[in-house]
Amino acid sequence: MCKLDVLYDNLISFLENMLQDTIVESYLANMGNETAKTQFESLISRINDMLEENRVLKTQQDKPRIANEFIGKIDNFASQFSDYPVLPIKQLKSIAVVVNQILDLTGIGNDVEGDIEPDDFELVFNDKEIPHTPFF
Amino acid sequence: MGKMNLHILSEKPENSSTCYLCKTTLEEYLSNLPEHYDQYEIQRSIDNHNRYLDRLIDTVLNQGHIPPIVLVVDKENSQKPNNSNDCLQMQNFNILDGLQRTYRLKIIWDTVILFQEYLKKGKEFDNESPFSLSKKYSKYLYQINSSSNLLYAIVNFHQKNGQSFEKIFKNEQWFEVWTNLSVKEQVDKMLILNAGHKQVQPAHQLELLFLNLIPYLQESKQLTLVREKDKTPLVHSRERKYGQFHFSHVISAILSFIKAEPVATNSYLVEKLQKEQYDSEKLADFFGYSFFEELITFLLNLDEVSKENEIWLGKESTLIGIFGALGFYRKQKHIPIKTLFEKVIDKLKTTNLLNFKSYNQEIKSLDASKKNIGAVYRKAVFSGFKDFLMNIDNDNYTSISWHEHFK
Repeated sequence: MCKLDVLYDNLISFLENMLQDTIVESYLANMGNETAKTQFESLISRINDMLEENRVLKTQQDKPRIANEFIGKIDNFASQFSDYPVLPIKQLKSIAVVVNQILDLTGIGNDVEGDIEPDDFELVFNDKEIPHTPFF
Repeated sequence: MGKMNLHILSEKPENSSTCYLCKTTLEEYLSNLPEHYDQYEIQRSIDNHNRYLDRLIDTVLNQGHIPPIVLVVDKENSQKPNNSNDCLQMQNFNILDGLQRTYRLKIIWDTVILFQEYLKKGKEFDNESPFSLSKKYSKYLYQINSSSNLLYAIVNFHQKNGQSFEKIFKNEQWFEVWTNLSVKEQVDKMLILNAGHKQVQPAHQLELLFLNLIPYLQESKQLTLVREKDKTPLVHSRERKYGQFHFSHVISAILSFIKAEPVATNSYLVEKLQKEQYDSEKLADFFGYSFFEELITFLLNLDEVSKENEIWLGKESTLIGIFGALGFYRKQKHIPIKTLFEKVIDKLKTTNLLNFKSYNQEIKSLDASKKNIGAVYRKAVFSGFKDFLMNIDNDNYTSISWHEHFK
């Protein structure tokens, strides 16, 4: 397993959850404003394009494309459609940042030492702020 | 790739070259683009958020006006068939101005072709939303750098207008075509064109110079430039082999040479360079073809004498330290660049001046947790190399005492 796959698979599955047909269609069906509908369709399809690109890149063992444009689109979507039911923004952005950092440091095709696969662990995000207790 | 036919509207001679104002159809242009027309596109970073370029699809579909594109072509790749005065035929041209527009136009052209292929195969596009198009076609659209939104615009246009796309791409486009320019003249024109649009940063000028000169220089030499898109500087520094140099390192090495001190590529530098004013034409004069030829010869020779430590020249800190020192020495002694480079290599070939054993010992003894390692390296290399240069004519100076410079 490549080092970047430790998190990259999670990013793809977060995107897949967000882009399920039923969720997109039901959200779209409840939208009244035509301009907002057009904007939503344009953005959600661009995000889906990026998911497909990354699936292809992963199959080809190529470098993921989850840098500036990806993060920009995700941010833009979250700010315009904050009531969208599946919005794993924190997860997508934080994984993208870490995967990009891993790429910078190790490049593509750099294997994890030992017999570790993505299914061997579960990635958990805290929904609440971690309380910070002052030392003094 | 075939030959592109253009209709000449006007012409203007300039020294040994001629500039033609021409027109041809978008179809003629896009179907005859050289295979690697966009080879340095990523390096110049395509602006994916450019609203004008995003709307180019509307301009194309409405058969609107797209500003003239400037092309350049060698003498052997252009001709006037039957000595015609109004027809120009060419192939293997380069794009001096209009690369971003061409890149987008090519995507639109390829997407229309893909759409037409789907129609021929009997695919239905009625009532498809951008999202459903994305689900069905994005993996194919990705192969041509296109998007579902672009396909949606094309599908929508086809459904509303029902007309063939043939007419759209028969729309005429104007071109300025420069023929018979030398490589140096091509680069100079490119710098002037870019400077005319906005202030060009020195780093960008160097990039343009490099990208246009390197293919000619690389033909006869063993130098390989590693690009950011292929390998990050960090990965390159660990894996480099003889003859490989990172593009960004070479740029910062040249900037260090000009400044006569190590110049690292950080955000402060970028900001500083943006504020500084440079005369594009003067810089182009300084960094002509011969400078790059001498630089590449020097880099390869330096690599040859550093063979026992291949990783050394993979670090930016090493290159900017060396070139900062070379720039410093050149300013002090006022000697021609070629003479300087040859003198340094001659000396390094016959002695163990670089003293890698001692250098590596110093590196090992550094405490990575306590110091900014990059800053320590570049300061030490700059200081060590400067010391060597200042003593280059001294026969008693046999090796760089790295311990002194790592203090």
